[in-house]
Amino acid sequence: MTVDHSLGPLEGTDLRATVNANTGSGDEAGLPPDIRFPREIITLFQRRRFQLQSMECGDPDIPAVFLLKPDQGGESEKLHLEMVHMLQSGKTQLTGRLWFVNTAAVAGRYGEIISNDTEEIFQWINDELELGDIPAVVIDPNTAPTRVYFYKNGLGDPYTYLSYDLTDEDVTLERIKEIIDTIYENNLKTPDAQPSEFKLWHKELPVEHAEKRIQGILHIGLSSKLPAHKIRMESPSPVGRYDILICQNLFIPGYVIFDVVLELKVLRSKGSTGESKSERETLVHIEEGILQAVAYRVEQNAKESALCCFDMRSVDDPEQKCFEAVQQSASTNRVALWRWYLYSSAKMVRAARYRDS
Amino acid sequence: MNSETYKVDFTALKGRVRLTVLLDAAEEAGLAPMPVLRLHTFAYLANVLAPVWDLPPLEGKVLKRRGGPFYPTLQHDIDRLVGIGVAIIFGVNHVKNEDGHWRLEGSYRQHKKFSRPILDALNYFPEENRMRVFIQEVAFALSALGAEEIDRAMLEDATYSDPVPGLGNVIDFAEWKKVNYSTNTANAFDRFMPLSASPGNKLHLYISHLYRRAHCDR
Repeated sequence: MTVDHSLGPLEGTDLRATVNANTGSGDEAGLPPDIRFPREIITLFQRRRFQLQSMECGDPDIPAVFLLKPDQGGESEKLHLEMVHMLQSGKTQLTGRLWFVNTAAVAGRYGEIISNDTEEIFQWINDELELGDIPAVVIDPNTAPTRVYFYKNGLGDPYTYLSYDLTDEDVTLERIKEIIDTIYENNLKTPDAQPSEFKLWHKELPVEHAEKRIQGILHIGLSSKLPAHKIRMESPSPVGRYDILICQNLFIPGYVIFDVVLELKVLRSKGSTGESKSERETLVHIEEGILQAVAYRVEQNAKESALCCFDMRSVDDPEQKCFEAVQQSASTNRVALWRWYLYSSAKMVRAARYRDS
Repeated sequence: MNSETYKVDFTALKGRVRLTVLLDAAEEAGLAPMPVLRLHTFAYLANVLAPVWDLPPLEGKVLKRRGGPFYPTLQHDIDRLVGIGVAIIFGVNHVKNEDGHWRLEGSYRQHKKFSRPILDALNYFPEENRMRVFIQEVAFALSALGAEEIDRAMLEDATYSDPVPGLGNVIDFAEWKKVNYSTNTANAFDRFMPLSASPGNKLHLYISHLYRRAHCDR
């Protein structure tokens, strides 16, 4: 059956103009709110900063505070609020304002912040406005580099926060490896560490879509640790679908910097139904992964590439013998080889950790 | 006890669950309480754009009316949800339809105490959870426009604004016909991007495009 791809009444309309005004909104769909919210605010701020480069005047050096509060409440009675739509366009001053936004921060209401003193601002929001329990992002333009603070419990709990420095530094392979090491320890290593919707084992066999679940866990972890970078997953390209692409938004239509391509593979001794996998199959799987990593890096003109192997085989391979036959090829093709061993049970972890002690 | 007593109409149940998801998404996006006709618009866009996320629409056709799309079953479901306490109505009013019948009008939001268990249960159904994420993103995309602008932008929708069929008829985009101009347009943005747009970005681009057209920025 022929598929009709026509656009009907929108045929011939200026789609390019809409793309040129594209803010990347929606790229963070599906991320938990406590990860998406600070990311969206950081993008908002970076876009504004980019817009200001072509303007003569700047924004005031007064902090911007964003409260995750899309619904209208009592604050409307205490503050004069203005509504701004299409907030991600970068055309609106952000600093010196208290914003009420939803998780995607595509529109918001704001009131003016008069004081430049952080303590006074906190007191005002907590005591006078009684909004101290609303998740908040604070951007302080007076620091260099600009520092962003995320208070997931609100400004009423000022000691519980995450902070990010907005620098122009590229993300390195070393930094990515460091982040995935942390994700591995916290969310992958053992079945108990894995989130309930991302369990990788069923009756001590790898689940059928283990790669997909690992990809989901990595997406959340990388998004959390790299809030100023785009973490793209499973996008099609002429040479296939890459697993994870880490890139920077230049806020110039049509321009993106592709930093790192990550190809994910799961190594198995047995499949989800118990069928055995040979060492030969494992080698072929790894070779395929290296080829994919090279192809996607070249196709996207990315700076770096890595093959991330999540080893779910019955026996650990601490000397990484699985990489021996491909080490030269990976090195020639500039593909980093990384491996993490996933234990099928806590019993195995104990055996590995305490066997020889 | 007669087994017939406990026959469940899964189609109707699915419709009410979907409506609960729509109300929750509207609240998260700051669009609640939502006037009834805008709720129909939201439901329509969630149906016509579902293929952008490789999801099937709940309803592949819609009644074309002057003021925007209208789903008789959705209207019945809203009233049902209000009746069982899952939804709350504000600003109750009676208005006459185009066909001369009176209907209840108001703005709706969820009653969290009763909608929460329904929404939490969706965590056990991965496909329904995916649909929930998609519907939430449609709500976020609409929230960029502002309430009244949603109604204006809706009239520029590629499928709805097609002159064929005319008012009072049924628009079919997924039941018997397999052409969906709205999804096609959302996917067409890829042609102009260095990296194919994410499904979420396509929704925002599409809604943004409708907004630009509504403001004659063609």
